[in-house]
Amino acid sequence: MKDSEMELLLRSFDDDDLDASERRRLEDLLEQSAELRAEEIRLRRLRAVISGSAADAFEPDFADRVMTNVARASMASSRVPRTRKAHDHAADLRHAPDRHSVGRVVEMGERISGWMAGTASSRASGWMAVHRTVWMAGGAATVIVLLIAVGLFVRIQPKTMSVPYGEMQMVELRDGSLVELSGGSTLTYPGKWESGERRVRLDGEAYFDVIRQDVPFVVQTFNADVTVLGTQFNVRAWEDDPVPETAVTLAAGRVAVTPRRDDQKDDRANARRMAADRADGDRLEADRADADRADADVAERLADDRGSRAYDGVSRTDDRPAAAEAYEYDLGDDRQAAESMLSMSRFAPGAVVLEPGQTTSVIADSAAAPRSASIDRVLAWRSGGLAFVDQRLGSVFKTIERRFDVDVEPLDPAIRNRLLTYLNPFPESAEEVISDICHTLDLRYRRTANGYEILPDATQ
Amino acid sequence: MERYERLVAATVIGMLGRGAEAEDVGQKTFIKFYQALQQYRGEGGVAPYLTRIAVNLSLNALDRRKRRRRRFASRDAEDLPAIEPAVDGERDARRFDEKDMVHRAIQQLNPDHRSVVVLRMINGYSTKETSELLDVPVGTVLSRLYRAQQNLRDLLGPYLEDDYEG
Repeated sequence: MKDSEMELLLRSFDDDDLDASERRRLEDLLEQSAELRAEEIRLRRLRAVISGSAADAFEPDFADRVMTNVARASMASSRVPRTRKAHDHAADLRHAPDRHSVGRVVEMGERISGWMAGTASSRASGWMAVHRTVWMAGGAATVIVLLIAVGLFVRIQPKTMSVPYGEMQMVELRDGSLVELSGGSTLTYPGKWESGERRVRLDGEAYFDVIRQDVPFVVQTFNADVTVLGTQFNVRAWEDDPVPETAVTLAAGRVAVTPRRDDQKDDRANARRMAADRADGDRLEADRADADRADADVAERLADDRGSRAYDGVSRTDDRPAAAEAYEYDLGDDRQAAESMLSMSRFAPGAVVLEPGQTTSVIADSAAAPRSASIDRVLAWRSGGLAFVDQRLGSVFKTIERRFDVDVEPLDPAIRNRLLTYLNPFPESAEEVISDICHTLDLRYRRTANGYEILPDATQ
Repeated sequence: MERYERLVAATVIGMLGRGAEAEDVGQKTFIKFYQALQQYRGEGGVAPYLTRIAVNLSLNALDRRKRRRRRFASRDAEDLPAIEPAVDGERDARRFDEKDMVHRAIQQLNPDHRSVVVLRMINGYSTKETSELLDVPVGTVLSRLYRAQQNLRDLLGPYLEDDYEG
């Protein structure tokens, strides 16, 4: 059967597409060719099957959900988005004092006018005029002193920058360092640096571009200190994540990441227990031997270093041999990582030193050995992107909540523990991302009043 | 609304297959329609107006699906074949419900061909109406229909044989 014959046959099914001569030719062909007749039967059957296959219904409650969403959409159009509330609230606050201050100014003006009018009759008295002048000068001086004191007080008071969900903000610190904060993050920094260090506190995620100075710059999170002199790095520290961790990724320079420990003694015991759980007997023995050998080496270095500041201001907090510290906090499988821990352990107990392109994370009171990281992926949030590499869905959903100011609630707790790798440089909406995730991991989602619920696949 | 739900369901499920995505696009179709009611001047009737919205939203969803496939690197997805055959011989053909099988075949057409098949062959619009709904010339509709039918015939081959006893 020729293509032209097949085309003629196909066209014959559509809206009298054939003219009279073509129709005659097709009739002749059908008479002559059994193959074409069989094809015509197949095509008729195909069209009958397709036209009868219309899926003409959604799920039973479709209409109800549509009407609910239509009502919600119409309400949303007349409602201020949640992400703008902070702005509007701030605008209200900005305007509210204006109104009050205008009121006060008018009130004070009236009082002054009244006072001036009331005292006009006594202006003739020279003594009273001098007296008044002295009092006014004294009052003015007092006001100036008070203003300066208040100014100084405000200046040295700790400042807090909280970024609403769905937004990003940049803060310039007094030393010129820049901090880019992601939505939902809070940065607390002193009005005046304390002597010996520049310390800020971060709850959330931020990218730091620190101006180099002799005084170390410390980012304190809920469970770690990140200490630098001058460098660029990203810190991710959400205490409300399902598995809270401080993840530090270095873009340039050098940083030391030290787990924070409130009760050092208990933590050491925990670290020992964790190490014992992780390492099998043989490897434990090998690590012990390595640690013992390194112990003598590092102890010798420590003797040289003692009395001077180690790592430009990050000093050791006790006199325990450095190798022993490294042994306690890193008994991982990777010998290279263990050696890295040993080499930096002279700076602070349990600290991990990162080189550019490396990342580490502190979970509880234990810092993982440095490993390579894709800087582009880690910093994707700065340009509005989303990147997850083998992250648990619980943490992913938290990120989506912060980014888009929505609620994302998995109905099955097991969903939170599934791992996802996802790259989206330009996510347009929470729904786009959630839809992507659900399609990939065979999950379903449905809208709620404030966000989305995630459900297991119906077939499971 | 129930009257038009069937129309929208046929269009959207035909374009996207059954599932949450189709339901979602179906909802969006009606929401968009209600939002655009003030602009709607009644020309051509409600059905074509709704169909046009449904087709456009479905094509957008297919576009998103395509972009999603490109950017995903999930381990969960690695084992899934990109395209699976609609009918794998007579035995498989008998195993599936007729509608499911046809829908699976339609899902394997490219979006342009798929939209023509859904509008012309499932929803029953004429070639001219289909060309107006898709905003393409009549000749384009016919050529797409021609190629789509050829593909469907190949995909559903065993099912269309005379000796098939489904």
